[in-house]
Amino acid sequence: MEKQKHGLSKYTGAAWLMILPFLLFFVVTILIPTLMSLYFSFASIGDKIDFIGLKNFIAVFKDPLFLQSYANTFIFMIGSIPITIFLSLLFAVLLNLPHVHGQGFFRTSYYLPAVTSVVAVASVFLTFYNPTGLLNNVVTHLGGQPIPWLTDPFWARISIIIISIWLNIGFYTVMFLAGLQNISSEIYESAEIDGASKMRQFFSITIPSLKPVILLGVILSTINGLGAFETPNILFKNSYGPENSAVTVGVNLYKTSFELVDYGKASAIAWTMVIVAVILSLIQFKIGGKRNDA
Amino acid sequence: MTRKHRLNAIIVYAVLIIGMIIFIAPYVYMILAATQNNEVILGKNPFFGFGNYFLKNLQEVQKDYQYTQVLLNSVIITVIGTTISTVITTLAGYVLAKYRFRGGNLIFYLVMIARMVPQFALIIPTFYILSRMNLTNTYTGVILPSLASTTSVFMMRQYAMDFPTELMESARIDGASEFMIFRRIAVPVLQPAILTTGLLTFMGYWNAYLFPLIILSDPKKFTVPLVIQNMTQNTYKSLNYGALMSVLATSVVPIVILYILLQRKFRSNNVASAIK
Repeated sequence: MEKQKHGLSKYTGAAWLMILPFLLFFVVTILIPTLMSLYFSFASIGDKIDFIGLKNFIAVFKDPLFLQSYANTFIFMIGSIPITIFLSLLFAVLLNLPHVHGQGFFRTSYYLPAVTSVVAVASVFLTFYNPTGLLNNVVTHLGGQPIPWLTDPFWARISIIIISIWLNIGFYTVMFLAGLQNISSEIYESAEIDGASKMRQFFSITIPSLKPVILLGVILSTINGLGAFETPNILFKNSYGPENSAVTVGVNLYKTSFELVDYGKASAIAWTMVIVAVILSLIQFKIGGKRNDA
Repeated sequence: MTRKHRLNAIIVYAVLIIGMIIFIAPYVYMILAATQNNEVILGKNPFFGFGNYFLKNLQEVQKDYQYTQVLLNSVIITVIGTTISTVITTLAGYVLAKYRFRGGNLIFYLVMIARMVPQFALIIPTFYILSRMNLTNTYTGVILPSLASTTSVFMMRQYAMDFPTELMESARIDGASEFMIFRRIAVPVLQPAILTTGLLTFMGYWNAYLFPLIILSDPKKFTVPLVIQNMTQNTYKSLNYGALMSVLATSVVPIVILYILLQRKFRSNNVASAIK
């Protein structure tokens, strides 16, 4: 033990040297900005920076747009997460069936949205949502009235939810597939021997085993949802959407900092986001356990 | 019984194929629409074939945005950023996995905590620092903020944990220096992991929107996503959807090809839980 310790300390210099470049950038571009951002949230920022206590946070919580941005995020989650999880689970279970061919091929095609620029995806859908675009073309051909995709608050939210579902299914499918492949086949075999039906096996073995993965998915979606910016920014051309229906925490933060140029208030908004993200991550750590980190 | 099996198989494949069409159709549409004009794209009778407007659309984008320069900007930023980031995060992940030293745990905990802080929290101070250093509207300004990717370090550390310590020890007996062990033994063994994290970083830079949006205001320095933003939000000129589609294709196609090529070396299950 002693010898090993001594032996390893010989390499400390080399270790530090190899980690140094990362450490340097980490401190300068992440650690210091994080601390600055925290300080900014308690400050008024003009020619000089003055500490003003909780004033920014008080202003933020009194701002109807701020409350609306959290409400919208919540609406988007309720609208998209259950459908996303249901469809991904369906695809993952089907792909995991023993005699399905072309698993890799299907998986790759489902995963494409996850590697594609969100700005590009939002722009394609912007074209689909055009008053005389492809979607309304289909609707009118079927005898329906054109849908006000981007001009009506209800449909504006639906438009965002559709994109979010389309973007996330592949990522979730791959995640669930990995989760399914981690369940040992012995459990199913002994259930088979006990005479459990396939349906029963699915609800008593598969779903409970996937619980940590589902939880991870919900939490990641929520954290990403708070920062959602590309989709609303492209669809609603840098506005808040009809009747503020598309303002997310990210949109509000961006506009507060770079259009209203109120860095203090924007930093306070950012830190409400940090607090929510940290709480959710801690919940995930606690319930999901370490197994999911790998 | 076999009939029932066959029916089941048909239903399974039907669902999987419908899924595939839903995910691939927008890409196909993007490429087809890049060759068409607004009359067809927004007309009553959409046409799902190639039109004759591809060159015209490209010329328009080139004229309005000097698009070749934009592509060059994106390539320079992505290649330099990915290279530096991959080197420093691979080294860091490897060291955090394989060396016990004073401060090592502290660094790891800081990285883990930083992973929870959303990018949005950093945009204001980052913009503040970069503008004081006169780095707005420069490649450096766009590359710098994303170099120290905590996700990459975390992933590389996870992968490097499996790298056998015995290999390092026998190399030490043969007199290899620590850096030599990294360069000659660890890098080749960890190559698939390095490619995976590298591809993620590449995607991050190529698709980046938020940081370039706040850092670049000079159209000569624009990257591809900024041109997309400009086209869709231009109030002076009505949007030519065909031209927009040709830009989208240049944004999407390189990544899709790269992803498919590297797909076999891609450890998708790890990637899935690491993207955050």
